[in-house]
Amino acid sequence: MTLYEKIIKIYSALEGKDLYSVGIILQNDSDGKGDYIREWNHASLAKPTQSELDAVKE
Amino acid sequence: MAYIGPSIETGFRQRFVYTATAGQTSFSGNDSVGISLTYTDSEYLDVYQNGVLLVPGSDYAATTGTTVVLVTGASLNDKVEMIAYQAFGVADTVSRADGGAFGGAVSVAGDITSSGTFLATGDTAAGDDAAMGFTSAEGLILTGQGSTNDVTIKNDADTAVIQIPTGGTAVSVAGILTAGAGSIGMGPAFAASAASGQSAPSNNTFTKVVFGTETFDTDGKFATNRFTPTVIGYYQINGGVSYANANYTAQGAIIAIYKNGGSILAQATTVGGFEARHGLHVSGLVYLDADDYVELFIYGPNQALDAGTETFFNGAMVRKA
Repeated sequence: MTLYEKIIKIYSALEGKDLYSVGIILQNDSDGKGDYIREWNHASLAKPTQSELDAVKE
Repeated sequence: MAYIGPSIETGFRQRFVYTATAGQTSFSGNDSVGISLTYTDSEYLDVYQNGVLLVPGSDYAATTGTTVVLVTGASLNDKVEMIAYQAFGVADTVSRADGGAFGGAVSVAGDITSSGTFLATGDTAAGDDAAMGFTSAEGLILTGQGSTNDVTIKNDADTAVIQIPTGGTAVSVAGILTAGAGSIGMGPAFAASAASGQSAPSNNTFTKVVFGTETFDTDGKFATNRFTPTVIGYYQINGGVSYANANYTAQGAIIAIYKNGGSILAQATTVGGFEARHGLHVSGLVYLDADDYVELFIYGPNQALDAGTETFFNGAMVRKA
């Protein structure tokens, strides 16, 4: 499950949204370390913690 | 006419007489009457062996000013005699043998040839016909004034190669100007494209595009999907990405040139909605200093990218800073 998919699981209101347009920047530097949250500037939703992301199941 | 030689006390001519031992070649120090051998200029030294004038170089060497060395060893009791002359004795002169410094300007009617280096230490001045100078700030200075050019540099065929017109600041170069890295037209340039097997970026995630094929990389400045020119200047940077042919829900996409990890140029569009390849392109001028770098990122659907020439990244210096 990708980082994007985990975030959508936590915040279903973001489904179908363009994350960049709502202040969320996910990034992957193609260095084998995978996706990460580079910036989280959403007006109302808090940045999910790592434990919240880890808890998301398929 | 007044006497202009050395003082009487110094003597105009000195004679040294040695009685040789068997096989003796080197003669120095006190002679038979206790006078120590000395001469100031080997050109003004005569050496006799048993009354026969020897030939300098062939028969003996006299280079130290205090020693004469015969090429062939003398026989026992040979008389070896040296006559040393003072070549010149006027105090205010520059020695031919030892060199020295003139206190004022020197004019020479012919050419000047030197086996050493000509070291200018003074600045030139406006109005100099042809002068070479030096200052600590400016280094080597060439100044001239002519009716057509102030300075002309010619090649061995007497053809003008570089010319500075009279009173001007423009420089005319007759041939091709070859410059080093970082000069205009000689800055780093690169072009790369995606290799096959380009993986699809994650949905809604800015993903660095991987370029497996280098078309060219003039200075070896493109590595690990990153262009780090190291030469300060303004660079035209271009990037393009094509999503592979597929039919998926229309979605916003962004292509961005990142400078030092942050977006500096970007272009957004919508991809998908019908079966086709969808391309994005971004380009522009980017200022890069000695350690700045640029990369290409794509943001959009989780769809495969086209490998090959439809996904590319290239750039070149267009103006030095």
